[in-house]
Amino acid sequence: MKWGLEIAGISKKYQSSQNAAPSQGFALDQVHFSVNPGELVTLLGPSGSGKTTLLRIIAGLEIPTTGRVTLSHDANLVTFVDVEKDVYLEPFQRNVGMVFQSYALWPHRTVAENVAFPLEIQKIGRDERDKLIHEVLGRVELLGFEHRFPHELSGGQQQRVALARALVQRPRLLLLDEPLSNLDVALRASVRKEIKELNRKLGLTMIYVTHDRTEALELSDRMCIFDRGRLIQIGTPEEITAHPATDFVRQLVTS
Amino acid sequence: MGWIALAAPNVGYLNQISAYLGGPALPTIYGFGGILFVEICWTTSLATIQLQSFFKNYSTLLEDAALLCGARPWNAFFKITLPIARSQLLSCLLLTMASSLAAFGVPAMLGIPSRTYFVTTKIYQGVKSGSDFSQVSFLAATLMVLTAILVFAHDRAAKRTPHSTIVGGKASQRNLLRPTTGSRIFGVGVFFFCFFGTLAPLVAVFLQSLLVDRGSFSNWSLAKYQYVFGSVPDGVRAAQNSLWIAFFTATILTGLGLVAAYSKTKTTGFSQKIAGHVANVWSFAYATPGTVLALPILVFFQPSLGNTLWIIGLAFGVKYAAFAIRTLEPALTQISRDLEEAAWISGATPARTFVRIVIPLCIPALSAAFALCFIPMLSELTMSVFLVGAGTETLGTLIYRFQEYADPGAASVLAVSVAGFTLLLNGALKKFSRGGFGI
Repeated sequence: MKWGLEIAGISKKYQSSQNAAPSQGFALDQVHFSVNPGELVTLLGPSGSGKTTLLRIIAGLEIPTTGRVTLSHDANLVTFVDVEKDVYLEPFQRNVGMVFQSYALWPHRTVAENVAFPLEIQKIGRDERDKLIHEVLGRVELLGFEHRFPHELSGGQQQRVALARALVQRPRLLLLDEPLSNLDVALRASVRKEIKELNRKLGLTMIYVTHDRTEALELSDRMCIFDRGRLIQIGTPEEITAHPATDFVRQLVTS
Repeated sequence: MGWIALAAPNVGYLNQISAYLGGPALPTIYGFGGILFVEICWTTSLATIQLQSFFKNYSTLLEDAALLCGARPWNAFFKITLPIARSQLLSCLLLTMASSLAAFGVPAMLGIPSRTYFVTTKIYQGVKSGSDFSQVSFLAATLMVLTAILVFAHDRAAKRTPHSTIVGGKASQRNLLRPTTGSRIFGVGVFFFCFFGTLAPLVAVFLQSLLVDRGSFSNWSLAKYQYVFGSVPDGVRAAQNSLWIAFFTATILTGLGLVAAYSKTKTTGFSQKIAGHVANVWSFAYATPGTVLALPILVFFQPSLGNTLWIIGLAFGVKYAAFAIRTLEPALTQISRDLEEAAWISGATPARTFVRIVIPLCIPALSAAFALCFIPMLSELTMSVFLVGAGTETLGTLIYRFQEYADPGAASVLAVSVAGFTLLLNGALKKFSRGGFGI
């Protein structure tokens, strides 16, 4: 099932900046855009531009100051958060997968146990669970590593465990927060391909945060360019490179 | 007791050996110098337990990074590791200072015979003699003010220390520092200090429990064990009482400490504030001498709980709760928020995340917290001497009674039993948890 995402008027003002001038202190300022079902959209921008904050708002780990996040599939509409209507779904109610920059693998659990966790929460029986774990570990090429602990894996393998854990719960949406930043260049290229292929095969809607221009250009169906909490431009990689909206965008995509 | 057996004038084992070899007599163990020495030996083990859980989780990569920046190993240690460990060291300093302020057993055994009095022993004497209550109250109030200043200073300093996340989401192999000549020399020094400070007195007490005649090494027997656990009715009962109180209270304190430490480190707003105040009260209660704490408990609860194990458990709970939160707080601070968020994203509620992710990650700290509460309670003396009644004797009070009434052999039997049980418990925990539990 492919889900589309709509971000409407999302702003985030941090507590310490509540008394700042109206134009200052926003981690995000009136962000609007939508993601089509099955699309892979990257959020590109320098550090501190608000892209990770937006990802955390979509995941439910941060509550926006204003705005709305909704997910839709045909006639089904799920509101994740709507500040005006005082609607807020907890992260564990959203069925969203997320790969953290640090991978956030639980060090006391083996690879299989890390991947099994979402299935345990869903109370899926042992046989079905084992089957799903086997299937997803096969997909990320980690069969044979089931009983290893995270510290016994390389960075690339850890990244794939985090991906497997996010995929196994069959999420409506997959969020990736700079998942390749800890990998070497060669590994990055191959994992990028794997992610793109997963997106095509599974038809899973993905939001991908990066500050790496190459990653964004190679992976994206569409790119969102962020600067200081504002969405500057959205479009396909070709559109953005051909017609950058500002000098900042030009520098970002051509440097 | 161990140091009395080793270094008592004339009859101490070390003095006997020295006399046999024609050497001089050792400085007396009774008095200020002896008390200071024995307290240092005792609090060093407390500090080691406290700091161990921090350094277990400390990545040496941080020092490696400093070495790659051109720092020498000692420079990396002083400029990187020590500042990162600052809040843990301060916490440790507070606990050990508070422990020494509240010390009663060592000053009582080594100070009273030489008329060297400390505040706690003065209070004890004042209460036992039933006179000088105004002086007792003044001494107690002075100690409480000193303790309050200590706790306040610690909290101010700890707030200024940035917390660092040591256990992150990206796992890495645990690296060990390469041994250098300096660290080898330091290691040998530590070994001798541990041996003479901790093991030698234990060995002396063990010998004393087996030797029939203190002056002769040729006559060994288990007669004293048979006497204490067979003929003295208080022996078995005191052991049962102490075990039960220590286990029950340590379990409850570990649970409460986990909730309080979690609220303090991982939540915001009201619950964090409340947990912060609770932690301060517990620290203050721990740092307050047991003699001072026991008095109001005795006054308020004697009518309802007097002469029961509950009043002793209550006093222990008030006194040792700080151990639980102070051990668990740094461990929880080191658990990256990402690990909990990943569980929420996977569909787990905060309660489930707490049970399935946070608690398993805290198991070393939980077991350390339990042991830090359990071990001192097992042979606690300071509060027990005020609170025990007929049938509620504890190991601490019985050991003290034997030692006071000139039966050090029987006191040694109980002391060896306590030490042996503690070692066995720690060994079993470590074995069955493959190193996950225990100290």
